[in-house]
Amino acid sequence: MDNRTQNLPEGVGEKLAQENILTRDDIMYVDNLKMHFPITKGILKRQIGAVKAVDGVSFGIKRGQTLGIVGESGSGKSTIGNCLLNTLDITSGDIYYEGNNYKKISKKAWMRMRKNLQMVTQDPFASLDPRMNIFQAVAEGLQIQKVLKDKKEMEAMVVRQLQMVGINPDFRFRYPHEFSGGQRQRISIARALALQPNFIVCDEVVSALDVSIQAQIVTLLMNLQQQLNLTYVFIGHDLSVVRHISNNIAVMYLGKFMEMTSSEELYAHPLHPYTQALISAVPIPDPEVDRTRSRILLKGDIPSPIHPPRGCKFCTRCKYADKRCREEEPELTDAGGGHLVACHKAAGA
Amino acid sequence: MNEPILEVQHLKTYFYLGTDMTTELRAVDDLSYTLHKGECMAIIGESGSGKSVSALSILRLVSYPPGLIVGGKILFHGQDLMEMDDEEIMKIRGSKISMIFQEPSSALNPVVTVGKQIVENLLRHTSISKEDAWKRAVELLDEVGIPNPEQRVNQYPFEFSGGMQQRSMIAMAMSCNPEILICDEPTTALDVTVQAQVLEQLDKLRETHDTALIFITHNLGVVARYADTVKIMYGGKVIEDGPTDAIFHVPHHPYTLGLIQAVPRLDLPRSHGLHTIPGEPPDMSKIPENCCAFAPRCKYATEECRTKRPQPETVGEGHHCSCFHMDLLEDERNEVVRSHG
Amino acid sequence: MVKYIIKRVLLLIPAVLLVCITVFLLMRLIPGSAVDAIVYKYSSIGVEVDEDAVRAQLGLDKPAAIQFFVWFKDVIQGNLGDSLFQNKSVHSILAAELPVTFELGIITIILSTVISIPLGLLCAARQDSGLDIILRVIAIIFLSIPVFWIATMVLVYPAAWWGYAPPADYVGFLENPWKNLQMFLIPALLSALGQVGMQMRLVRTQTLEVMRQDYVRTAWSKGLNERTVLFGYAFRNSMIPTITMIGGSVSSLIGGSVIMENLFNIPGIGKEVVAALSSRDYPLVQGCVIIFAIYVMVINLVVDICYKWADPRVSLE
Repeated sequence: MDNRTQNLPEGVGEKLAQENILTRDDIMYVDNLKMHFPITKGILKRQIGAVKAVDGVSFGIKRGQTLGIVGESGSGKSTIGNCLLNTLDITSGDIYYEGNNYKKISKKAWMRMRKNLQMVTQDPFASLDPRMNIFQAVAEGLQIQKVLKDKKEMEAMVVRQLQMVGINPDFRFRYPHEFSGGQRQRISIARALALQPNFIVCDEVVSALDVSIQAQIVTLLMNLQQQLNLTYVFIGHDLSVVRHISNNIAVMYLGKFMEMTSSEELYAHPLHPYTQALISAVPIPDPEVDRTRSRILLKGDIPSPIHPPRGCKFCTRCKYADKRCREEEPELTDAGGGHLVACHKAAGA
Repeated sequence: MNEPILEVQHLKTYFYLGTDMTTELRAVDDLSYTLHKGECMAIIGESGSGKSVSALSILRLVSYPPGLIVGGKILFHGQDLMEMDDEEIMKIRGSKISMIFQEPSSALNPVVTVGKQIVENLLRHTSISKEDAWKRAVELLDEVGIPNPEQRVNQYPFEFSGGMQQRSMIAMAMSCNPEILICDEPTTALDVTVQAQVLEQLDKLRETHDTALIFITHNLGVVARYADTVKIMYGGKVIEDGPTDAIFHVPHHPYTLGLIQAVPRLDLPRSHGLHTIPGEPPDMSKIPENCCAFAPRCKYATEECRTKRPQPETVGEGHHCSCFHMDLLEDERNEVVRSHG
Repeated sequence: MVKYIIKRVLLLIPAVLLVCITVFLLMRLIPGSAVDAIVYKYSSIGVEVDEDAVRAQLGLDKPAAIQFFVWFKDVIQGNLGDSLFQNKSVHSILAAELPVTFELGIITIILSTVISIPLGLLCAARQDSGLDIILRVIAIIFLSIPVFWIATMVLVYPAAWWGYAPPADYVGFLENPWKNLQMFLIPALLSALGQVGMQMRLVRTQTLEVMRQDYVRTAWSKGLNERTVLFGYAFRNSMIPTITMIGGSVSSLIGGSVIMENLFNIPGIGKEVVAALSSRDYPLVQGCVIIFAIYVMVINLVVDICYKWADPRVSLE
C-alpha cells in the first residue's frame, strides 16, 4: 500500500487497492482531487497559468455524518463543494458517490442519481428566483424530476417540506422578497430537501445571517440531519460555527488540507500552526476566558492561489518554517488516532 | 475613568419611507451615552438594530432624504455638533472624529492612489506642506503595518488586499490624530486571520494615541476581547449597557442572555447545545411607539411589555437595563453562567 | 502602453481589408451602375454614347475580382484612384473636404461636452430641485426632436422673419476665423443638442449612482467640502461610462454630418459621399468609407486609452 492510502479512513485503503471502492459506510469518498482553473490570455486562449483551487485532496464521509471544511477566502473550499456535486469538470482524481465514480458513471445513471445530492448556498436571494413564489420554488425540482405527477400530492409534499423547515405553509404563494434572510434560507433548505436527497453541501449557509438567526438555522440543519439521516459537507469560514455542526473538520489553505480530525480533537489539540492561528484568531465571547488565551498573529496575507508558494503552502506565514518547509511539500499524515496533519514540524509532535 | 469627551443625549434619527415619506422608521430612538477619553465602547446589535445609523448620526452623515436626525444633542467637549453649521462640522469630520467602514474595498476611492487619499485628509485639516503630507502618509502606512510603504503609497486601492485596504483606511482615519475613531463593522468583510491582525492594530493605535473607539459590530467575541463597555441595541434602542464583564457575566436583559447563548463557542464541548432566540429581528417601520421591541420574541413578555416602554434601570455599577422582568431572568442566568463555567 | 497601441494599430490592417471587400461588393450589388449614370447623363443632353465603350473605359468590363485587385493594389500604394465624375483624384477631394467635416465634428463634440457635463453634475448635486426638473425636461425635448427638423426650422424661420441665412460659402478657418465659425456654429450647436440631452442625463444618473457609493460616504466623513466630493470623487468615477458615450457619439458624428452638411451647404465629406453614392462614383465612395473606417477605429482606440486614464483598474491587454 502506498503512503497516501494509509491515511484514508479505515477500510478505504484496502478496498481502493482492490479496485472495489464501495466501503461499509462511506457515502462520499474523494481520492486525490485536483481542480485547476486555467487562466487564458488573448483571442487564442493561450493558457498562461492556472488557479489551483483544489490541489490534491482526499477524504471520506460516513453516512449520516458531517464533514466541516473551514478555510479563508481563496482556500478552495467552495470548489470542493461544487466538485462533490459533479458540477465541475475535475482536473484529476476520483470522486465516488455511493461507490460510483463520477468519471465512469453514465449520463443516464447520473440523471437518476443527481437528485440525491443537493446544495444550499450563502445567499438565498441569489438562489431563489424573485419571480417565482415559494411554492413554485420548492416544487420546481419535483416537476423537473417528474417525481410526482399528481397535483394534489405535489401540494401536500410542498406543504410538508415547508412545515419541516419552520415556514408557515399558508405563506406558500408569497414571493422571496416578502421573507427575511433567515426565512429565505429556510426556504432554500426546503427546496433542497424536496427531492429527498441524502447528501447536502452547505456552502457558507449562515455567514450572511444575524447571530440569533444563525443559531436557528444551524439547529434546524442538525435536527433535519437526525430526522432524515442526511450527510452534510458544511463549508464555512467561521470555525466556531463549523465545529458546532461537524463530526470531522478539515482545515483548508490554498487548495490543500492542512489538518483533518474530529471536531473535539481539533480544538483540544490543534497540530498545524495554521489551525493554531485560526483558533486563536476567533475570540471567545467571554472576556474572562478570552483573556487567558494565547494569541498568535499571522504575518501578511494569504498568497494568491495563482502563485502559491513552493513547498508547504503555509510556509510564507508560518513562524516555524525552515528550509525544508520551503522546498518540500508535507503530506497529510496520521499523527495518531486518525488525526491527520500536513506539517513537517508537527509530524513528530 | 478618564474625562468624558462625547456625550450623546436623547439622539433620535428617523427615516421617512414610502412614496409620500409617511412611513416613519425610528432607526435610532432616544440614544444616550457618554464616551470617555481612550475608552473602547462597543455597540452590538443585529441588522436593522440602528447601530450603524447611530454611528453615522454622530458625524451627521445620515443623508436626507430619507434619514433625518429629529432630536437630541451630540456634545463633543461640551459643544453641540447638531448646532454647528456645515463648515464647522466638516472641520470636525476626519480630524477630531473620524470613521472607518465595513467594506474597505468599496470605502476607498477606486481611481485615486491610497497615498493621495491620506494626503487629502492631512491637507484638509492641518497646515503642513504637500511634501510633508506625503512623507507623513508613508509614515502612517508604515505605522499600520503595511510593508514597503514608500512604494505602496503610490498604488491604487485595487492593488491592495482586503486587509491592507482596511489598514490604509485606518491610516487615513488616524492621520490627524482624532480623539474619537468610529469603527463601523471594520473587520466583518475580512478573513479571520486578517481580522485578528487588523483588530490588534486598532487596539495598539488606541493605546499609543489614547483615542476613544466606538466599535460597531455584531461579533460578540470581538467585543469580549477588546471593549471596555458595551451597548446592546435592539429595535433602535439601547436595551442594556454596562462594563463588558458585567454584560457577559450578569446579563439582565433576556435578549442579551439569548444572544450570548446563541453564539457557538470554540471552548465548550460540541454537546453544549445552541440556544436559539425564536422569531426574527423586528421590522423597524412596524414597531409601535410604546412597547418593548423585543416582546414578540421574548418568553417572559407580558401585556405590560406590549403596551409600555421599559425605561433603563441601574442594575450595577454603570450597568443599566431596560426590561420589566429582569428579576425573572435570574434562574436562567445562573444556569447559563454555570454551564459556561 | 506603447506596445498596446502598436498592436491596436496593426489590427487596423485586417479590419480595413475587410471593410474594403465589403464596400466593394456592396457597391456592385446595389441596383444601377456608374455606366448607367454616365449614359443617362449624356443622353439627357442629347449625346448617344456606347455603353460598352464606357464600361471598358472605366475598367468595369473585367470580372469583379480583377477589378477589386486592380483597385486594391492602388490603395495599398496609397492611391485611392480618381473620381468617375469629377476629374479629380479621390485623394485631393478627401484632402479638401475631410478638414471641413472634422472641424464641424470637433466643434459639435466640444459644445456638447462643455454643455452637458456641468449641467449633468449640477442636476446631480441638486437632485429633484426645480432646476433639476427643468433641465431634465429640456433634455428630453432635445432628445426627442429630430435634428433635421429643428435644423430646417432654424434655416427657414429666421430667413422668413428677418431675412437672415447663415453664410452659404465656405471660408477656411485660417482665412477668416470669424466667418468660418459663423458658418459652423449653428449646425454644430444643432447636432450637439441631441447629444447634450443624452449626455447630460447620463452624467446625472452616473453621478447620482456614484454619490451613493461607500467611498463618497468616506469622503464626507473626512470632512471634504462639496466641491471636492463632487469633482474629486463623484465626477472622476462617473467619467468611465461618460467616456464610452462621448466616444460613441464621436463615431456617429459622420452620420450626423451628412444631414448638417447638406442642409447648411457645408462642403464636407458627408455631403460628398451622398452625392457620390447616388451617382455610383465607386472609387470616391470606397475611398470615403476606408477613411470612415479608420476614423472610427482610431476613435475607439482613443476611447480605450481614455479609459486607462480615467480608471487605473483597467488594464490595456
